[in-house]
Amino acid sequence: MHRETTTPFIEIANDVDAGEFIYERGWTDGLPVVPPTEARVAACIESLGMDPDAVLGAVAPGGGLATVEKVAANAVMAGCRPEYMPVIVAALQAMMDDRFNLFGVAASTLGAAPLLIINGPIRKALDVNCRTNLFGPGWRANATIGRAIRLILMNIGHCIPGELDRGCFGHPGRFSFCIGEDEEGSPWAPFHVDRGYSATDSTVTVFAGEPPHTVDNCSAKTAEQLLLTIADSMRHLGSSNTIGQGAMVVIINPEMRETLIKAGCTKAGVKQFLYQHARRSVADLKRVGRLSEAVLHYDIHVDTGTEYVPLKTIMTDYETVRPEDERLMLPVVRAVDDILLLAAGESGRPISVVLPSWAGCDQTLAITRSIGECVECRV
Amino acid sequence: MRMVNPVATIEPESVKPASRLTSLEGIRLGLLHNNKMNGDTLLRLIAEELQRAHGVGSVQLVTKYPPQKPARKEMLDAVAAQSDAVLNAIGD
Repeated sequence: MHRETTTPFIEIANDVDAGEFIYERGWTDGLPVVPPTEARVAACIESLGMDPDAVLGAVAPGGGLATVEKVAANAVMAGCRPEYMPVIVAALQAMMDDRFNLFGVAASTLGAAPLLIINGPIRKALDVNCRTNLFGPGWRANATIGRAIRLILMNIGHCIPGELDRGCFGHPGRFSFCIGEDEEGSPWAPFHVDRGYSATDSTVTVFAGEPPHTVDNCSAKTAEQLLLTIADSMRHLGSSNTIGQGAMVVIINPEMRETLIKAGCTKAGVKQFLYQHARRSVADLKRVGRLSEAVLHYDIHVDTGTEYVPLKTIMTDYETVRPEDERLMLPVVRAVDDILLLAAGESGRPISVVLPSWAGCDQTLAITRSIGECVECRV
Repeated sequence: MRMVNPVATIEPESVKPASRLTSLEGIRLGLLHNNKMNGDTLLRLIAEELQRAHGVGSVQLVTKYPPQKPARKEMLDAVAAQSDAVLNAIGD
């Protein structure tokens, strides 16, 4: 498919169907888009107050230059309102942080997607959905901000499915993957406060995630039973967390939070409980061939029962299951604070979701940025 | 209708190619393994064939980590300094 990159503007005759023209140019995610007319793009640029030629950076995996104008054009196509632009710019800058490893996230066969988590007052200003149908349709801000990120990856990062995007399955979050936290509905400290920001700051966090896995146990009678059910969902053998100890997002709905809070659970206590119970033994990993020479290079730690030691210091054989392998436990995250615990979703049943990481803790990190802070860019 | 082109240009990195070898006889061959499953097997098989058919000398395997990130410059510089030619392959 021809994807012209050098012509800054493209003019089409009035009798040409703009939607079909754009689709044929390979500019879309497969769904119809809003044509990026000069006036619409200018309105988005104006909302940022930046030079349209300012360069935010090179977007992996292809390395296209993200000028403010190109970012705005993709935001328009996604259906964004101009006031969404600061969120998109902050998210893009977070994704371009080397620690996020956008190259791997975008191109990998595992097919993850950058999840955007919005915190702070901007959620209300933009009407970001934090509750019902959290990952579903219905809210313009969630749907179009997330979609803008995907179009930017495709059109600026040249992350084209089947070309540089090598995802075996991909997932629906690759169309749009953007949520807010229900800060008002929870007595727990907001997520961005956990990460060192003020409650009055507005932030966006990017996390390279698998799709949400629903965790349901309506018949649980205690907080402990509910948390054990979540921990079980966090430790499945097919997850990269099991051998990489990357971060993991856990989202708890209001009804389950109420049960936990009535039982005296603090946010820190919930995270600690999950850290202690979301683990697999070395024996379990050996039985399914999950350990290999390559895994021994990973910076992951094992709980021996008395201390945490690097896996590579105790592994002499990654195939034979020894009796002592049953008590050597690998937590699914590197540390307690790598459980990214959020309050969101709607009531109706005590339910939660977990989102495993795309890869291990030394391959990708969740990155948080202030929205609207001074943007360091080159012109 | 006049539209802004949403597709970005790529600034290609300028790279000076290494000088070409006229023979593989007796050379030091570096193997750069991306640390994915079977990448090392593929590289070693090719190295064995190059030794058998073209007289390649020593072979050194270098494994990068983590596999999901590009090799660090120090690693590339080291393998380049210790090799006359480097073979790169990806397994997965």
